[in-house]
Amino acid sequence: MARRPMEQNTELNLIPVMNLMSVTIPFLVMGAQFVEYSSLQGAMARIGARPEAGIESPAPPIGLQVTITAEGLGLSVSGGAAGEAERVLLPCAGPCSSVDAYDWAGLGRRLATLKDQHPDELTAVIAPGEDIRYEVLIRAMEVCREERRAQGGPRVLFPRVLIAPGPGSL
Amino acid sequence: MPTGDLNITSMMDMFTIILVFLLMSFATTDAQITPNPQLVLPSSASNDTVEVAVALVVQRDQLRVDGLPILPLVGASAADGGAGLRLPDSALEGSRIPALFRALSEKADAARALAQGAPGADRPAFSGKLLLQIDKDVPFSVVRPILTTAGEAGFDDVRFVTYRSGASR
Repeated sequence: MARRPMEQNTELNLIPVMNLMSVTIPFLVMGAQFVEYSSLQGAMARIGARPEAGIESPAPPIGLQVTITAEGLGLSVSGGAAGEAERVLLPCAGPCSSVDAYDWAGLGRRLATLKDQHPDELTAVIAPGEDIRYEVLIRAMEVCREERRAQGGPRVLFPRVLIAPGPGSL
Repeated sequence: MPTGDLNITSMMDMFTIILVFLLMSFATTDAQITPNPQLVLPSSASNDTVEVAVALVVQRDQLRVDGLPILPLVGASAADGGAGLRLPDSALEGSRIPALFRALSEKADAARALAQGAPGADRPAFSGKLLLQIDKDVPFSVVRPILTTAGEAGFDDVRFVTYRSGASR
């Protein structure tokens, strides 16, 4: 009658693995990035400036300009194929004291409508007033570049954003 | 006396979780951005990554190019939320900042010289790319001459660095 082999206690020695992890973790903590950064492309508008490579607008520019003042947002279209002109003021709900006080949803809706009417247009000029904070300028750039939709992901609106002196500038 | 080995299985579990979390948050961007109490960046949902370029930092107290102080900013006070920040009157020459123009021109010249000296046909050309890190409360009256000066110094491709907000993910 064959005897069953004796069961041996084969517990894994985890000490070397622990040592490896103890050495690895401080290095990873040093290289960890707890805040993510992104970037927005833009440029100062110049007379006679050439468009960037890869962003060519086949249609005549419609002269889309977003002005930012202490009263709110202004949207103006000065021309285009049909030669139409439009000027809209989107006032803040209360005092324009913070970035969220501006009517970004209203601006986004109007820009989306303009993109539907002029699908080939790629350029938007943002003209902030002298006292407008940088944070507000960045939000305006973001709204001009992309429309955030609940379904279907973001839609590109006017990716070529130029910055120009606004009301009250020299 | 009873003797026993330390049970390290639970510690191994904890270390494994920490390791995975740290591997996921490991920095993958090339650009070096140093957090600073004088520099709070605005947020955006943009998905564009931050690339390596000449870094122009506009803090609440000074303006720096690649870490070197160029100019102080004056008028900072906690009461007005940064609205009083401005460049010193002596720093401006029309709509240009001469000290900043000199610093950026040196960077541009060095990049062009490096590109010309590089061997091979596919030498990197001067891209004119500038990474702008500006405090969110700095008024446009400070940003405008900086952008004008950067354009005149040959930096046409300006990237505004922001914190990435969660909306894009």
